[in-house]
Amino acid sequence: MKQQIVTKINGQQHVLQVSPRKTLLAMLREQLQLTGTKEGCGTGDCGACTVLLDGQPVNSCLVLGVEIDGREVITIEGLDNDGELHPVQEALVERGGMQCGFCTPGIALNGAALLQDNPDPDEAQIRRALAGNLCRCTGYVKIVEAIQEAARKWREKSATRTPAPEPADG
Amino acid sequence: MRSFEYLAPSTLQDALAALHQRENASVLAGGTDLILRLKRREQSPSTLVDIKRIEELDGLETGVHGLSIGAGVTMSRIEASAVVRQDYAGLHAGAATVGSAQIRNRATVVGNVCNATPCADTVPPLVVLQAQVRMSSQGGERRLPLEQLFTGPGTTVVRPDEIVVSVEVPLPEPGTGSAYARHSTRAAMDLAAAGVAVALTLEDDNETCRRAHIALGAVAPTPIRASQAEDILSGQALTPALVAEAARVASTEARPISDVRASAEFRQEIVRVLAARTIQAAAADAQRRQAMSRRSG
Ligand code: FES
Ligand code: FES
Repeated sequence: MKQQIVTKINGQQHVLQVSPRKTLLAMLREQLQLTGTKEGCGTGDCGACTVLLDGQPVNSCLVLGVEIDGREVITIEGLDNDGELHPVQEALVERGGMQCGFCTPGIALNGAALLQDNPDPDEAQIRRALAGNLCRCTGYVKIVEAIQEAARKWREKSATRTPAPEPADG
Repeated sequence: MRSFEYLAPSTLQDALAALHQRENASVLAGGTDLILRLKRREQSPSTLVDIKRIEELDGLETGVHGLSIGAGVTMSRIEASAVVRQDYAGLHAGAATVGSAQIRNRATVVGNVCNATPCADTVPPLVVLQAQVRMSSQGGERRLPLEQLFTGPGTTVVRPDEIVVSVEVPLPEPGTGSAYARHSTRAAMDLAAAGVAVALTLEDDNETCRRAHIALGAVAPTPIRASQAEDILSGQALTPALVAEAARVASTEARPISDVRASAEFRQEIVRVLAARTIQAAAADAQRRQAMSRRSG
């Protein structure tokens, strides 16, 4: 039997009828036609299905649609800011951090969440954060470079928005 | 996935009533294991009772008596806790090793315990830190040392009408440190081929081991204690030779199987290497905690 859920997806409120056994991934792709979220393994290993659930990256293949009742989801379709790409997306394009593109939505969302937590990650931190996103094409080097580049842009952007406080010791 | 009824009660009472009334219900927490098993039809419950909306199960409480980890607390929250990092280093290491960032944002410590897979990364550290498990049912509450929870791979003494509401970890006494290390073929996203957790209490001289707890994961049907190795360390100065001997004995206490991840012989050898490292790491952690408490006291 279907159940009704109320949820915010990419900033927009939705009232949906969903069968409990449907994963969040299937619900996004089949019911909402948000096909930017990909299914790779379906078992939590590849990260192609990554979405942000209340701001945190999760594997949507291991979440039930009914579980997001009252919660908020961002998919790759909602990562940009009114058509302006997120710095991580921009850097992935510019730095060649994507080839076939299948892993890219997951990497972009997970990378964006990383910068939110840690605006200045080192390479080891980036690799650890992206350990759950498999890429069969790039060899990861360009992805890591792209995230580092995005982090620089991200810091510049936030610096212009809110002036950094003067360091106490001058 | 077969169909099922989905319930998301907001109180523990309602959740316990639902489990009591239904024949074939499963408790859903993070879902990173359960949803996988549903997909593979290894499990087909007629009802899922989602406990994530129950506020009283969502607490990670730290205090002078210890740590209380509610059933809703994820690996990420353990990883982010400064108190856990400071006083329960072995548990911190275990939680930080699990899966990927995406998995750690969903998977819970209590779920890791309840699934009872021999290779669960948080269980050996919780065992050496002498954790207790609190279970509730309509009939009341009970508490068990974590060590007594497991009956075999994937099986525990938790009854179908019970919910594990929290894991309680006493604050390690002064002079105690803990550590966890594991080996897997890949650095991340892989199950442990073997894991070793150690908690040591040092005497005031910072060298003599007063008490040692050693637990091994993934090398027996359930997580086990290496009690002979513990005895070797107790009351002795932690010389390199003694640590090596304790590690050798710990590896003989492992009862591993051969599977896709590693052969039995290799697992035994890994236990020896990891045990030596982990004993040393736990001693270093004990000295660090000792130094911190001297400074603040
Ligand atoms: S499809 Fe979800 S992790 Fe691979
Ligand atoms: S670009 Fe093809 S899988 Fe990553």
